[in-house]
Amino acid sequence: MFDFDRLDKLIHEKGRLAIMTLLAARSHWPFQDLKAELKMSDGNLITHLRALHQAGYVAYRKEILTRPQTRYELTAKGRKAFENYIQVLEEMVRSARG
Amino acid sequence: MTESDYASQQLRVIRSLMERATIYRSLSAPTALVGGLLSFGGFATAYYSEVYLQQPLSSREFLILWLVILALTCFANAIFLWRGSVQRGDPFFSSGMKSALLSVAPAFISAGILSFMIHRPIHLALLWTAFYGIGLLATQHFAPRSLVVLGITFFLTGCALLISWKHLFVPPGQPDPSALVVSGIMAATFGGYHLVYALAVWALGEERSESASPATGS
Repeated sequence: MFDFDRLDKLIHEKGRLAIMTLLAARSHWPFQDLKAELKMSDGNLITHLRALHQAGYVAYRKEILTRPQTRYELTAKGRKAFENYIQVLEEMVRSARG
Repeated sequence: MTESDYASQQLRVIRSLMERATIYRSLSAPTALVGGLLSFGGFATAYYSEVYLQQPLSSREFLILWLVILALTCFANAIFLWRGSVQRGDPFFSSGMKSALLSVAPAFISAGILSFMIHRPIHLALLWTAFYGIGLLATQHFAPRSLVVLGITFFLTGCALLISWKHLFVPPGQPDPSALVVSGIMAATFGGYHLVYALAVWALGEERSESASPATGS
């Protein structure tokens, strides 16, 4: 029987999983691009990013280029957690087949 | 839904999101069609000038003709990309477009500068072919496979012609092939390759699968 508790609850939420996935796909994402890609409201996205930041999964950097922007990226801890999450999902699939 | 089904579904969502985040098609199939047809139009212009008017295009006219075709194709590309971004609800200057522009910039800027330093049409055509391929290949880390294949084809064709053009296209007693022959090379590469690319993208349904929206949001 598979132990669901092995899944990281913080990442498992649909919106946060989408954020973690995008951050894992590219080195960094400006807030506006994340928002456009995920089609989330500002408030919703900020809430999820704050939760991930508090867990140490996501880091951010404020920059002023042509206009102020905040860029987000995965920390080493966040990348490890995301990889573990995928590994657990793959084990779930394998255990059902085997 | 079983555990396995659930896990598989989650993995599919992750994969779909990652692909969407990393793949960007900087040259749409409709643009390729327009560019291809315009290239054949360029050849038709050179043909009309040389055969009917008995006035072969000068080097300057050749350059202007193909720069106009380039400008029209770029304009068409901007329109199609803008339309696509509106349909998807994405910003026009998405992170994918910025990455694509930054990737192609070195090759395209170099080719642009060299275009005003080189005066022989055959050199221009081969330079454009090879550098266009290099530019497309610079996007290979996030471009769809068809675009990478297009880049490889242009690059290899450019290299092959750079080596062999004197043996293939220069008539006896002439230093260079005529502007008509060079326009034929342009039509075969920029025209023919782009038409094949457009047909392949439509036949494989690549653009439809890229615009399919993954299950995201909360």
